[in-house]
Amino acid sequence: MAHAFRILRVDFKHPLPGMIPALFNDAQYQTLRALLDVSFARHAALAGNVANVNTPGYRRQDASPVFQQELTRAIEARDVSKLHSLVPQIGIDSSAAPARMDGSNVNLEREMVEIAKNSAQYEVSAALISKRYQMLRAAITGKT
Amino acid sequence: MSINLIPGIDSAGSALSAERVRLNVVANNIANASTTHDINGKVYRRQMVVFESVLAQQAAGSQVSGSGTAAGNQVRVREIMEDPRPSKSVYMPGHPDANEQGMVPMPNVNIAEEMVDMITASRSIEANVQVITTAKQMMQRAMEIGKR
Amino acid sequence: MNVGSILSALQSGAVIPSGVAKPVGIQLTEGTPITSFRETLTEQIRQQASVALHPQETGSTTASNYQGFAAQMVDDVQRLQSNATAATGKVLQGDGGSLHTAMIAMEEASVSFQLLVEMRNKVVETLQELMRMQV
Repeated sequence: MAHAFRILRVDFKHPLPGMIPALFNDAQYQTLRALLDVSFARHAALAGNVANVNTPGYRRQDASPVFQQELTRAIEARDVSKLHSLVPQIGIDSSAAPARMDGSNVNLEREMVEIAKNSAQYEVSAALISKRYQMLRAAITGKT
Repeated sequence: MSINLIPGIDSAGSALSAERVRLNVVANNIANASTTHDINGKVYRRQMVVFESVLAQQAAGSQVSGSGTAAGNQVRVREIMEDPRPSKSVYMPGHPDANEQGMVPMPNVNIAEEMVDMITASRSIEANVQVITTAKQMMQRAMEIGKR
Repeated sequence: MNVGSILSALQSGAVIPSGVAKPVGIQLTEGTPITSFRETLTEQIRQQASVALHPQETGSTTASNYQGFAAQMVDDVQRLQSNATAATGKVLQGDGGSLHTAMIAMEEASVSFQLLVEMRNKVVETLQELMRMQV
């Protein structure tokens, strides 16, 4: 039996210690996660703008342009660690259109369009991430 | 609890409440457009709502971080104040409320203005309802992540 | 991969070569919550992985590599599962957690657990085949 046991010891020449992190540490997956977080936070900011469409003196808010640039750069560079640690920054949109007579710079049509685009981004990212899990399960179990 | 399940619902909900108040005030103004004296004997003065934004930090009571707290700015009615513009007077000598010169003070309500306010309010209500509908859609899509 | 087959495989202790202590089989009743089942199962896998592959002879590095590898996998799965529990808790308490984050955490935990189970099954299969060949 000891002899049998020796045969049973399989030789792992190249162990893969990080097999589970490897499932989720690729750029596309982390990009989808980042997009979900950003779209989620942005919807709340845009909702705040729409709520205040008739508030005098209100300044519209959005994801800060600096953050947008960082996100785009991280996506293009496929920088996984950057994407993983990105935290959406929402603040006053300094580049927005000049104020109306009552001091508010909220344009309702523009906000609604942004909300539509944003929710599409959220839903598409959710669908793609779902597909990713489907594919992983198919690969793991061998069944589609 | 719902701010993170349905993002933006608190903002939109606050707007719906505020605009509802505005609609009530508009209806009251229209109903009293010809009220020359109320219970106190005064002519009706137009009422108007003053909105103000409630910033997310104030609403949440804490720093809004990017950790997933999707609390946007809200809106509320700061006050319902009397329109400071003077009431017009109309020459109607036989009117019970006419003064010695035969002038009757009329409410400073302008129906056209009230209609514009009403349209503004309903436009905002429609938009905020759309915001909630969109957020619910997003949440439903999120629930389907991993659905087989 | 269904729960019944995992259970019977573990309870039969088929993976362990004779002469080595068999692990205690899982006693599960109807309605055992999924989290405790997973904890018990991962604990069992961890035990079996180390028991089945503990090097009997000195100077062997490959088995200890595998042991490290299996232990690392189990650790990762447990970490992802606790992430999932934490994220879900945040959503339910309404403080600082978004729904999609919780869904993602749960899917990651589920998929990685599935991977762990499939790998364990492959190991079991291989060991069984080899045992059959020797005897």
